[in-house]
Amino acid sequence: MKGLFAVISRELIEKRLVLAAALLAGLLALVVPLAGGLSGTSAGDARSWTASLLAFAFATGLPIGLGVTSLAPAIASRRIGFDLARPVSAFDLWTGRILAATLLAAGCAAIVWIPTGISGAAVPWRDLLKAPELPRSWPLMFLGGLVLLFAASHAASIAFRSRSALLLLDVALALAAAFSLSAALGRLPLFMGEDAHRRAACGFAVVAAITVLAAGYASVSGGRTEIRDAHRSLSLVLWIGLGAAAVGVNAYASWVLSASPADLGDVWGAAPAAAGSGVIVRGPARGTEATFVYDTASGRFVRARVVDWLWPEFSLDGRRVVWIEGGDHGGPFPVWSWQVGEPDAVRTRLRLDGYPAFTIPSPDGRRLATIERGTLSIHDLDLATTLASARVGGERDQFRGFFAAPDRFRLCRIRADEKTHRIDIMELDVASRSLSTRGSIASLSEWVFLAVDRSGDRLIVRERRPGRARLFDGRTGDPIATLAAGDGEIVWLGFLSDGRMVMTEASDHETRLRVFSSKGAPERVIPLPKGSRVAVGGEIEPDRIIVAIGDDPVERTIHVVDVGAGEIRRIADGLYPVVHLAAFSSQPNLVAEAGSEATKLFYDRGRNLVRLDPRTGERRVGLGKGAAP
Amino acid sequence: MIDPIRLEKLTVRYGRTTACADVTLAVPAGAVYALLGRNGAGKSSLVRCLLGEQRPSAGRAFLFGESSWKSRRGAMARTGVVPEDPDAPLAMTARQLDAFCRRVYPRWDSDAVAARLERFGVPPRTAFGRLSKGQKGQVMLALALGHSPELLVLDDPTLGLDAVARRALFEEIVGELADRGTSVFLTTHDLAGFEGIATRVGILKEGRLVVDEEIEALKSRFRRIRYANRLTETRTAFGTELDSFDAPRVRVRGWGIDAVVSNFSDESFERFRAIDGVENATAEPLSLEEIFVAVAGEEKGDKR
Repeated sequence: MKGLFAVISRELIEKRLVLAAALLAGLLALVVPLAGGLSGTSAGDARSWTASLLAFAFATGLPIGLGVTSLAPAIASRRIGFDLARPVSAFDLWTGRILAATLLAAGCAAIVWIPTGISGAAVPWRDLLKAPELPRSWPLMFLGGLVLLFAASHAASIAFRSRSALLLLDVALALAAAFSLSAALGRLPLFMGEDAHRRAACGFAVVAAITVLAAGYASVSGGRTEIRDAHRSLSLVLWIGLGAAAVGVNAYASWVLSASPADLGDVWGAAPAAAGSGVIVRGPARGTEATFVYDTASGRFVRARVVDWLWPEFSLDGRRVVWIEGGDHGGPFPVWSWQVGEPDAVRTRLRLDGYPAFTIPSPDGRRLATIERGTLSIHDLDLATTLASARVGGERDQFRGFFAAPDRFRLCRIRADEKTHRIDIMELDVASRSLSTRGSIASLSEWVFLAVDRSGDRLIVRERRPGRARLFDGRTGDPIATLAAGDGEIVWLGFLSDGRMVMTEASDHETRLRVFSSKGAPERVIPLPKGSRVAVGGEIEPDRIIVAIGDDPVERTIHVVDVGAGEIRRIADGLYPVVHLAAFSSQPNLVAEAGSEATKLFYDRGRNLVRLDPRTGERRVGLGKGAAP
Repeated sequence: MIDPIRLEKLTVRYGRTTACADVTLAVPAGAVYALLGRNGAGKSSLVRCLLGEQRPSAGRAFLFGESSWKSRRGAMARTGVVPEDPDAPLAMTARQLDAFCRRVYPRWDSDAVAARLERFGVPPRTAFGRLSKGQKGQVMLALALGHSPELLVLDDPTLGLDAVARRALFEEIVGELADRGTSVFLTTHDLAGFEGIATRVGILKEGRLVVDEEIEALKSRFRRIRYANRLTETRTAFGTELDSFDAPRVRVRGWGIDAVVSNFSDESFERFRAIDGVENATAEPLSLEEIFVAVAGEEKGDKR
């Protein structure tokens, strides 16, 4: 340490004139307003800005200037021999000069500010320093930045002064490292998770900073009085370090991207196919927000690079899933497709200019309906062409839709006026490329929810006020029946697989399940166990539905309700069903088939995805941190 | 006892140019070793390797038994160095340099430094860059001796010094040697100045160490032989009369032959004088400078 302090103090003594120059610069900032004829607040602002700029110039210019002129010329001219002929280590020489340069830079910046500070001028970047985004350790980061400026300038100075062909290799390796880093970060787009991106970038930056410092030390320790040896030592350490960092970032990116559903820490959300064994799961995995399409039958999965608000969509039969690949810098966005259970997903030739409001695949998965900026389009995924397209509304409209037939797409447009809502039922015919309005449901009060049966022929609309649910013809919007409720609030309603409908109704003192015939006639009222919250899950077999009751948003008591017999059986606690009798997606008829795998999936308190066998009550954590390895 | 300096097959190359090749030598404790060589002979490269300032291309350099490349810092605590070009920071005064050295050496005698500077007449508060070349050299010498080193390495210390400064430097070194028996390794062109000080001498020629021996032994085997040559082709000794000597330099003069021989002995010289045709032969001792010129200055002359 004696050597280190000796080098620092000698450097400070040797370069002491810059402190005087800083003081002069500070005085210059004081007189600037006088030269411009300014007074009052304007003069104070002019002073503080001038002092700030000069302080910044000293703070950044000195490390660069000293980095270029301090050690590299001493090595090149062999004047470093004076130090090497003393019992001073290379570490002391390198570190001492860095610290001295940093102290001088910071000291000069402070000295420049002194006269302005004494004059009472306000710091112009005071608000910036108080910004909550600014890390508390910013002074240390600032000093670290000065250290790196010195080290990087020294490295450049050594490389140029050696006049060696190695400089060309340096340039080539710098480009390779930059390209490699850019490629690695490009593989970790921001929309998939800023954490992983930040970790990769920060990791590289930290390693690069350490490497630049180590390379500078190596140039002194390994070069001593030979500038070319110094350059060789510097380059060796620099490119080994940066190369390792670039490889590390790439390896990290590969590790992050190779995550499987088993790596999900939590299951933030799941969307099973209405039929079959496919399920979309989303959650944090290895520092990113991962979306997987997972085939529970084969264990195969693909990772869908999607933005968080545009999930992949299953076809109605659950065999095909389609998604739009997200990007950080705008479109066109490629469309991907996966035949559930196949080894790999296919990047179709179809590209979309923007993110659509929804993407709905046809039942066979070959066509894709999208709405983008109020225009409904039907695309052919195999041919990558748009088959039909029509303007269907504006930015404020909401849309639900489904393929009523391979060539016909039925759209429910929900339009909100000032006081009322209306639903327009439209169909886009692919063959004739024509859009027709088939009917409307007008004068709806505050619209909350609609559900469509699997065929699309019937439609239920629930209005929050006046608390009623009505059944309509899904093709024309003609009213069929009002689903009579009691004095409670309608909570859930949906279609059973045989066409009947169920509704849950809750009041202060009781919760009931009402069953209606396919034409809307009341059939049965089943009192449910008490609980402030009730949710209707899937139909585990014809006539038997899951009902989750409790006071907690997630942890509910799971019951199987036999709507035919009116019996209730409690089968599990602490779970919440993943699917419901009504679809919340853009496809209102996408309801899990009775007895499908989707109806057996639940969330637990720990955000795990749990499979519950409704017959035996056996439960197994399938995904999430609670899953068995 | 460990030799303060030992070089083993030391080789320094710059690209395809070899500065010194396979140099092996040792400087025992208390010796004053003068390494001689023409400009570009590789002396400074060798000194830098010796001081751990440059990595040899091959071979090794040891100071006090330790690799000077790996253990430079420890060795420098026991070594004083006066470089060829005074290389102290230009903005620092002698007093500031003294203060710097005081911090880095385990033991340091500022009073001795101040006394030497006063003897030399160097102003202690003048920036190093503003001193004359001689004063700079004197500051470097004062700093080199400030920690009473066991070994003093001087790389052409008298280069560019006037006679007064040279004398002061010699006196200082002689005083140091007399007081403490410091080992000295020096490279120099000032052969006359160091002839009375050096105990051993090495001569580098084109990077190779062609002479490495005690100075008295060296001087005893070198002689200048002059003789009138009456040898003709009919005589058996024609063209071979100097063969019993190794003659690195032979010149034909109007009056006869002027040769420098490197393995002179009285017996050989008597036999030489007895050769039929060799007349008026004389043998004169050589100064170190003359020996150096004979060894390093020129290629062998023609022997007729």
